[in-house]
Formats: sequence, C-alpha cells, structure tokens
Amino acid sequence: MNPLLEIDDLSLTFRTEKGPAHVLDSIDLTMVPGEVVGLVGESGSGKTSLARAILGVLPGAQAEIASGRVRLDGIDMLDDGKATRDARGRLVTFVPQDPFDSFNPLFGVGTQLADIVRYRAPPATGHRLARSRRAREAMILDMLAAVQLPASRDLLNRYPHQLSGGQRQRLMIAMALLPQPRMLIADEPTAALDVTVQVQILGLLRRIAAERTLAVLFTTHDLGAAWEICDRIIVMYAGQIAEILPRKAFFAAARHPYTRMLLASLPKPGHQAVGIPGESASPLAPPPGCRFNPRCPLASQMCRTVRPLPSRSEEGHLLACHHPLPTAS
Amino acid sequence: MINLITSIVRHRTALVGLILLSLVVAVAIAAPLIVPYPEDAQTFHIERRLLPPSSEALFGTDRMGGDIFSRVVLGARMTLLITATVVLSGVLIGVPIGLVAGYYNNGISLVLGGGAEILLAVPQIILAIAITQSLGPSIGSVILALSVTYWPFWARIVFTETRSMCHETFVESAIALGVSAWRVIFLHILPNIASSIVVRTTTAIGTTAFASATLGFLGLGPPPPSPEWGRMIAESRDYLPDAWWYALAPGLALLLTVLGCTLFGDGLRDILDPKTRRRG
Amino acid sequence: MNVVSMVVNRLVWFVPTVLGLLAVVFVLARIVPTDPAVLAAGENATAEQVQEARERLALDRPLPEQFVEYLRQVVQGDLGTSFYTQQPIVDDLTERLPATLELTILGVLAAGLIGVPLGVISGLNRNSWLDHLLRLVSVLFIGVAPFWIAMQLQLLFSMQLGWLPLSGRIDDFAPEAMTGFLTIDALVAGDLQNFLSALRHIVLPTLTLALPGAAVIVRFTRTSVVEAVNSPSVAYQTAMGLPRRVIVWKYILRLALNSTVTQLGLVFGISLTGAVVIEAVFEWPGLGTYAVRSILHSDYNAVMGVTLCVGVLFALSNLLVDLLQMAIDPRGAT
Repeated sequence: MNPLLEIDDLSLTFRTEKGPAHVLDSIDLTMVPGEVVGLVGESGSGKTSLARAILGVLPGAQAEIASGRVRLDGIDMLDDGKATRDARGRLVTFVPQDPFDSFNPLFGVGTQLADIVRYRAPPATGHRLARSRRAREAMILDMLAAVQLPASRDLLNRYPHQLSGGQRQRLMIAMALLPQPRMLIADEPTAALDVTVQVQILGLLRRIAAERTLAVLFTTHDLGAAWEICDRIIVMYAGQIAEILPRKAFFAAARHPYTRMLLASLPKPGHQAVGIPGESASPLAPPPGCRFNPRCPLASQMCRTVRPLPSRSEEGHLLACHHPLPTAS
Repeated sequence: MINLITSIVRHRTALVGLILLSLVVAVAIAAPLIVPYPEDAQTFHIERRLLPPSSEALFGTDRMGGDIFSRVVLGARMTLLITATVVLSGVLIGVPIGLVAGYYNNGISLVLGGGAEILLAVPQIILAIAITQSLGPSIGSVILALSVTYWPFWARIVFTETRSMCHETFVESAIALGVSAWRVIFLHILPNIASSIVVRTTTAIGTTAFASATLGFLGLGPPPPSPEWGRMIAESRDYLPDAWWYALAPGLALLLTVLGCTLFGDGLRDILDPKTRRRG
Repeated sequence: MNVVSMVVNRLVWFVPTVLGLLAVVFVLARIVPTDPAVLAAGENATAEQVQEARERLALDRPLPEQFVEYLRQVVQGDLGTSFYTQQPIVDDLTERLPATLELTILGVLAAGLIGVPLGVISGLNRNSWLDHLLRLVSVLFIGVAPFWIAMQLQLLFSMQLGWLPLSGRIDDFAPEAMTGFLTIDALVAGDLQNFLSALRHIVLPTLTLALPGAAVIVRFTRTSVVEAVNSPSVAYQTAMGLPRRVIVWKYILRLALNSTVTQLGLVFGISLTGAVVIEAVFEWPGLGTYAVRSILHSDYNAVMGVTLCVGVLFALSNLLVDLLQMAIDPRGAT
C-alpha cells in the first residue's frame, strides 16, 4: 500500500526565552491508510509537537524546522500554501485533549458543528451537500449516530457546559469525521475523561478507523490505552524515537531499556506501580548521543557520544539502541 | 525583592511608570531648590501678570503675575502630601475592614461590608464634595474627605480576595487545625493577597491625585493663593481664550502623575499576578 | 442564578444601602456651618421668622426623629423643597435628570463605538506599531483630567475655531418636553433647527465624557481579544482549518464582547462621576451641576434628593449590566 503520511528526518527547534529548545530530533515515520498508530511518551517527549507539525499548526513565531519534511498524501504540511491550508481540517483532522476548552463556550455545539461542515466539508461531495442548512443538519445528525450519540436536534441546541465530558468528546470526534478525512490526529483524547468513558471513546476510535479506512495517530502517555487500539506503537523519549513495535509483539518484543522501564511501571495486580528514576531530559540542553543515557542503567561511553540509529530488527520492529535488552522470556 | 526589582527594570511599561513617578516625587521634594521663582507660591507681581511663555517664564505667568512653572512644581508637594496621606489611610482603614469582613461570615462582616457598599453607592466625588464643603476649604478637609470616601475601594478588593482565599485548601486546613483567626488572616491570607493590594494602591495614587484636583477645580481645595493644580486650571477659565497657556502646565503635571501611576500599576500587575489581568 | 433571584437579591441589598447612604448625607448636612433655618427663612429674616422656619421644618426636633420624618416623606414621594430654587425637589430633579441621562447615555454609547473597534484592532494586531500607538493613546486619555480636556476642547472648537457652542444645552427655547432628551424631542417635533442646535451643544460634553471611557474600553477589549486569540477553542478551530475570517469575526469577537460587557458598569460609573465635573464646565443643566450647586449653597434637602436620585441611577445601571450579561452569556452571570 502507498504510504499516506511520510515524515523524513524531521528536526524541530522552538525559540524560547531561555534559548533554543530541541523538541524533535530527526524523526522518521510513515503511516498507511487505515493504520492506527500510538505515540507514547512522557510529557515533554515531543509527541504533541509532532502532532502539530503534521497538522501544520506549529507556532510560527517560535518554531523553526531545522531539517526534514512532512508529507501527507504528497502535500507538504510544513508549507503555508493553499494546498496545505486546504488539507488541514479536510485531509487531516484533529481530536483535542480537552473537549471542554476546545469548544467556544458561547455558541451552541450545533453551530460549531455546522461551521465545520460549511467550511471543511470534502470538496467533491461537500459543496453541494453543505450548501443548504437542511443538508448540513442531515449530515450532522447522521454523524451523531455514527459516534453513538442520540441523533437529536435537542443535543445540537445545547451549549458545551450543558453536556457531559463523554458527550463532548464524541462531538469532537464527530467534528473530526465530518470533513471525511483520510487521517485523524487524536492528542491524548481521553486524558480529561473518566476511566469508563475512556474505554468507550477508545473503542469508538478503533471501530471508526476500521470502518472508514482512516489512519489514526493517537498520542498518549498511557501504554495500556495505546496497546488497546493501536496497530503499531511508537515510543518517544525527549524528541527522539526510541522504539517502534507492532501491537502483537509489544510486550514480548520490546528491547529498548526505556520501553522496558515503561512496561515495568505499568500497575499490575499484586505489584506497586514503579516510577522511572531520574528526570526527563530537558529539550533546552539535551544530552548528546542517546538522549536517554543519563537515566539508562546500561549506558556506555558510546551512548554518551553517538546517537543510536534506528535499525529494523524484524518485521515491523524498529529499535534505536546501542545495547538492546534480550527479548523478554 | 531583588527579583522584583529586576522584573521591573526588564518590564518596559513598569520601568517608564516608575521613572515618571519617581520624577514627580523627586521634583516635589526638591521643589524650592529647583524652581526659578520659589517665592511665587505666595507673593504677587501684578506688573508681570498674564504673560505668555518666554525664556523667563517657561509656561507663562498667571493672573497674579506668578510664574506658572514655579507654582506647578511647588504645587506638586501639596498634591503629593494629599495623595500620600489619603492612600495611606485608605490602606490602613480599608485593608483590615476587608480582611475581617471577608474572613468572618457574621454580623460584623455584614456591617463592615455594608458600610463599604453604602459609600460605593454613589460616585465618591459627590460625597467628597459634600464633606469638604461642610468642613470648609483647606488641605486638611480635602485629606479627610478623600480618606473617608476612598477606603471602600481597598475594602472591596480585599474582601473579595479574602473570601476566595478562605476556600483554598491551605487556609481551610489551617482553620481545621485550630490555628487562631488572627494567625490565619495575617500569616496565610494577607501574604497571598498582598500583590493585589499593591497593584490596587498604585492605581489608586492616580485616582486620588485626580480627585484632589477635582475638588480644587470646584473651589473646594486649599484656598488661594496655594498653588493647587485643580484650582489653577479653574482660574484659567476666566482668561480664555487669550491666556491659552494658563492651564497647560498644571494639566500636564497632573497627566504625568496619573500616567506614571497607571503605567507602573499595569506593569506591576503583569509582573506580580498575571491572573488578575482578566479582571482588568 | 436565575434572573428573578438576581433581581430580588439586588433589591434586597439596595434598600439598606440607600438608607445608609441617606443617613450619612443627613448627618453631613447637619454639620454644615450654615444654619438651614436661616437659609429657609430667606435673607433679611427677623429672628422670629428664623425661629418660625425652624419649627415649621421641624429642625428643633432630635436628629433621629427628623430622619424618620424625612424618610416618611420620601416614601410618599415628597423630597421636600429646595431653599435655593424654592421649588419642590422632585420637580427640580425631573427637570434635570433627562439632561444628565442624555449626556451619559450618549457618552457611554460613544465610548463603546470608539473603544470596542479600536480595542479589537489593537488586540488582533498585538505588538504591532498600531497596537503600541493605541495603547499609548488610551493610557494618555486615562491619565488626563476630564475637566482639563473639556477646557482644551472649548478653547479649540468654541473659542478659536468657533465651530461649536461653548456651553448650555440649546440656543432657543427647548422643544416641548416628551422624553426630556432635547435632541429626540426636537426631532419628534420636526424642528430641524432646534435639533441641530441641541446636537451642536452636546458634541463637546459627550466627547469629553466619552474619551476616558473609550480609553478604558480599549484596554479591556484589547485584553479580552488577546485572551480569546490565545484560547484553546481558537487553537482547535485553527487546527481544524476553519477560515481565519470566520474564527476572528464570529468566534473571537463574541468571546471578547462577552468580557467587555462585564466592564460596562464600570464605564457607566466613570461617566457618571465625570458628568459631575463636566456638567460644571459646560454649564449643562443636569444632576451634576445641581448636586454641586446644592452642596455649595448648603441646600441640604436638595443634596439628599440628588444623592438618592444618583444612588438609584447607579443601582439601576448595575442591574442593567447584570441582566445584559445574563442575556448574552449562555453560562449565566458569573
């Protein structure tokens, strides 16, 4: 299958008051249509910046692309041209972390959904469909059913503060699907939700991706959630990709010390959850070589000077480590 | 403290405000030494009345032949004296009342809070005019009138802040642990609302300077020949349009004072508590 | 909080506040050096006439008793008689209230019409030269004394250019009173000449009143626009590729206006305070001149009446702002 998303050697720097922050370091990533990829890492690992780079909404005044490119269906998303602007919100859409803050509190949710249809409906079918108010409403009501909300006008007349967290996030997913995109970026879409609602929303995302051959890039710091719904999981540390694992081999095949520590930190029955010792590397002054080296028990002189290049160890498994651990028995 | 000073120096608005404000204060203190005609606060020179600006009288002369520039600079002392006293008493009356009314939720707080609301129910200037009129025009009555009418501004902001502080966990737990009310108010609440009070006070300096000039303008300030800015502006009305320069210097002096306070207050608010910006 | 409970709450607070206010003014009026009985008896009154006035006005009774008596009259709609105009104070107030209302309403409207667009421009072009200029100008207008602006405007437009009248409300006789707003009354009467005259008279006072108000609105609006631009909902809509014009003119503007409305009460307060002095400069026959003159003449019945009137006006404006806020914010007043 032809790749939908191609990221080559992307390095990104933010200008800050305290000097340049090296947020992303030489990221390579491809995704094919219909694939669900989880991007796992602590806060500050660069996963949100990567998501924003794909959407093409990096803060222009501060962000500087040091190298690399991001192409979505052949379109350069780091460009500011018409093709990129058209692609944003059509070819690729977005489900935010906090559905409450992401709605404008002063407009009914119906209005906000209708504006998405009106300005972001797919060019082929959309313009004709989106022209009349009634057609727009029909599209929206269909979509409500697809995200398992009651397809009622009453819901659309409500304001964001009158809805539950789960309802709001379903509406956000509906808004992300209305333009009929080929790729969806979900930035910690369940972080603001109750645990039971989290499970439902994850299930919904998984099903929709399969039904619509939609590529989903899903950022999370929750390994368990990623494992639930993803085909592949990318583990990021301090702006570098540590390891990419296929879902089925996730627990067994993980060989990067950081991934293993993450796995060990998962709460298990009968075990206390353990944190990873040490502090996350600062993007202002990242350690040379492998950025994980100050926290890694296996770090050698080589780790402190030479950056490990990602290498393919077996089908679908990519590893960037000088001293990989043996596969778990 | 050192941090605060560095922040002020870095913050352009705050720095400009502070410089303006310090300039006004410095000029007021050194007034008799720096003005060309220090005796013009009290004496007349009828032979050189209503002269336009010249190298001898930078901002012209007034109806009594006084050098307007000298009089404005000397007037800064009076404005400063009035403003400083009023602001100080406003803080000393308003802050404790606001703290007590905000901390307790009983009859006392109702009476204190109600008292503040009563004084805020009409424009302050009306009450201040009434009080100065009752007492007769003098510096003392201006100070008293403004002190009595302006303290509710502090009481109100301190009241609101104290009320919301009382819902903070650290205050609630202190109360639950049986810490005495005075300790909670002075050790837990006051330090946390101090920045709001400082910001409010800075802006209030400007407002007070305005109010005192307004009283002077209406003829209720210190009696002539005191070089009071508001009165000087009012006097000039009889000599317009010919003596166009008459009101220029006192107006600009008032502008610089209030400008300094507004800018410094804006800057302090940015530096001390970015959250308060929402409340304007 | 719903509308009814909000209104009731306001009313419950209003009565004791105004009572307290009246008591304060009442006491103030009694410490004036001038004896009100002498004023009431008129100039050249004999000692007996003064004594007679004292008894007629119950000024020989204890203070609390006088106050209760005063309140009893107020409840019946009688505010007493002015020593100075020799008219019932209710008549004096009804005559002057429209002049002040016309001025302040126009002033607040003008402040909004100038302030909101400039604040939006400033906020949308944050840190541009235009933003810096607008911020500087608005901070200047906050710092400049209203009576000083008034005089400079008079000097320029009335005395030197002769474009606009120096003071007063109208050249000829006022048109037949309907609303008491001369501009509207003249327009209703179809009297173009009077309308233009009334309009020419109100321009300078309105401008004087509006400039500081506009400056305050520019600052608030700018802050709320900047806040709206940086809000998560705008970040989301940008990421979803909504056209910038829709985001700005529909969503950001609505957010910004919402917070600006909450500041309207403050602007009205500034305007009413300003009116007290500005009316004096422009000899505008409103409540402000009436209040100042009554105080200066120790006309204590009139002072009480005008304080009551302004207190009611203040409370009403606050109530109105609260209602407006509730009406436009779906989350209810905060």
